[in-house]
Amino acid sequence: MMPADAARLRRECEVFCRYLIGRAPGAYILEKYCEAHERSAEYSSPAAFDRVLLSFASRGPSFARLADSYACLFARYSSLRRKLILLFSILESASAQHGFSDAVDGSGQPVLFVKIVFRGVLFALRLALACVLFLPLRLVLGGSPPAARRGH
Amino acid sequence: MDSVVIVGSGPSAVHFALSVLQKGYRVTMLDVGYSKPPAVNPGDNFVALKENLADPVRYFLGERFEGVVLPNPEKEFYGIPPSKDYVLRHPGGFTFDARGFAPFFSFAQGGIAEAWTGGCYPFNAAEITDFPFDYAELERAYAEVAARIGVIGAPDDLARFFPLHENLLEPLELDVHSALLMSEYEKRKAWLNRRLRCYFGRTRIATLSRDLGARKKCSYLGRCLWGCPTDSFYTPSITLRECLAFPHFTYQPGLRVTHFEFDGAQRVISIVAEPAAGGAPQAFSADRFALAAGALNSTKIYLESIFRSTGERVALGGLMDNRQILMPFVNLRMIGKPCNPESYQYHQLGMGIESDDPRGYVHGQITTLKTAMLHPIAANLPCDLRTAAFLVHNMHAALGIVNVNLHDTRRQGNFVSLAEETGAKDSRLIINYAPENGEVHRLRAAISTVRRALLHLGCIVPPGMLHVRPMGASVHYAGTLPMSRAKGRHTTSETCQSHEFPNLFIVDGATFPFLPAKNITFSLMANAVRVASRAF
Repeated sequence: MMPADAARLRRECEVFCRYLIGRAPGAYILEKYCEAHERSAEYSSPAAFDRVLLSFASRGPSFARLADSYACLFARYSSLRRKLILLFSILESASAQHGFSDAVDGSGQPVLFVKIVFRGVLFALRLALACVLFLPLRLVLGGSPPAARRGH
Repeated sequence: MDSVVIVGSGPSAVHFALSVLQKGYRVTMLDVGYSKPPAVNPGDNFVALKENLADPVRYFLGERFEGVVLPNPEKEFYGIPPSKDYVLRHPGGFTFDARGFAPFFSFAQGGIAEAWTGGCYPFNAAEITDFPFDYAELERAYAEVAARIGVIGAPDDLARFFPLHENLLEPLELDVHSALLMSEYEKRKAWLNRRLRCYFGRTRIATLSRDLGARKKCSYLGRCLWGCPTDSFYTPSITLRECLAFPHFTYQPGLRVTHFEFDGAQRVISIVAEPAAGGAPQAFSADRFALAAGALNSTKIYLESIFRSTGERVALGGLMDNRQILMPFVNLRMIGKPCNPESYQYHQLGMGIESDDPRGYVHGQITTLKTAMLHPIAANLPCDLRTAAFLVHNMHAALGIVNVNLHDTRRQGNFVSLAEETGAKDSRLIINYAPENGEVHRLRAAISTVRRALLHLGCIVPPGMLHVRPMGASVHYAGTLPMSRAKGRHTTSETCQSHEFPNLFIVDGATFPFLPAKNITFSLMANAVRVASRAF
């Protein structure tokens, strides 16, 4: 891997990690994220729209969340979505110190339901904004190809 | 001392081998035999494993990150974990083409059942009406296998579908979610039984609730999905180890059997195998021969043998497999509750849906998710991953999945044959499958009943998450060389003895003339024991 690629991946991982768990990744997570890119071609895409989406998301955690709000429904096979799912899987495979904390929201079911509704409303707002930004771009640049079947 | 050559080391092969070894036969077992890697940190539970391993991501996701489940149009939530990759490794030279069928082949020591989920569901008398023997024979064999491997179960409402037999062990402790589902069922069973003809109960599983020989009882490490490090959970390689203790048993791994050779009287003279790593073929002679390599592999060997001797390309109809539907659900009462990973991980509960025709029984296995990877679920939720992470972590204890199984029947249009091509050293296997007419109606009815039953227990099936798996996914293959009372071409007797080749026995699912909606593995083992008892 070229040094410039490695630096880009580390920056990408930092942004995505802040987006997913609210803190910077440790050295171990960074290493695994870069290693996955070295060992698999699943995370790159030649599609122009994918590159734009990824570049936008890499600007910062809020940008990543906005781009992901669009990708989760309309670009499910995009390289952004694949990279985020890869990082999610790495975080959940690592110890709690490096990855996700498995603790549940301790506020009780009624409060939790309110929080879920609130998050749903926020997601809907982000989705609306993301559609305004990305739908025209997608129409111009084209979409992501569906994933090939991954067999075991 | 008579000699037997057995092909394969899966559940049928090892139990057949153990039975004939106990009768004094000299046994040679031929197998590709990819073996299981040693268990890592055997004393650690699931959480400690993440803390103590130097590279937990490599263990859980694999060296090439093959354990990451990226979005896929087939919506498969889970694959084989990297620690069990060896189970689906193929040797060179083995090729196939499949239409309407997504087959799995295993060349592992212990076969595909090294990655099974342990379901031990005996067929009942109504389900074996096409089999040319009485249920009493099979019942004795079920008891024998249960004593060997350790099967837990309870005499509850599901016993109306799975007959009780001897040597059942008491069930394991239920996890909190499963216990809640059972208590809700007890409150509402009158309605569920009457209106939906739906029954719930404890599943029968090949794991230990008390010590059995050198194997220790389940210690709730929560590592079932990744491979039980203590052998409390049964896999056929455990029985293979028992066979290895017999002085007149020879295990020959590293060999892929291609065909057998027979004389003018149709007696098999030898089995021919090629080293999996390449090299000259070797021939193995014996008095009797047993194909137990799994229905598709055994069928391939059978077809190849006829083709090499006669030039005839036979097509064997009647291939069967269970259609499976995966129905993820959320138990509303469990949302926000903490999840305890220190519990048994595979299905502990089952559900059965009764049918007017007892052979139309629909079977469901209910798995409450505790240590399974969450990223495949998060990736399928219709929201961004940060929101999805919040949802799955707070709903982790509430998540479950029902694996619904439907029965299958033999139809001549579903066949296995060899490709018509020249120049290949070993023929390509052709598999052709089409569902029966009316399957869509059966699927819809089963989905609707399961959905309503879950709703009645306080669980919802999230829209868009249901997945009808492709045929072949359940790996319960059967029916290509069926047992038959009549001596038809390419059939077997009630003792699985070939009607074409008198000293050849086919001791796996290929001989089953009907496939109930149940995991077949326990019946494969029992049938192998029955054949050894009757014919040897």
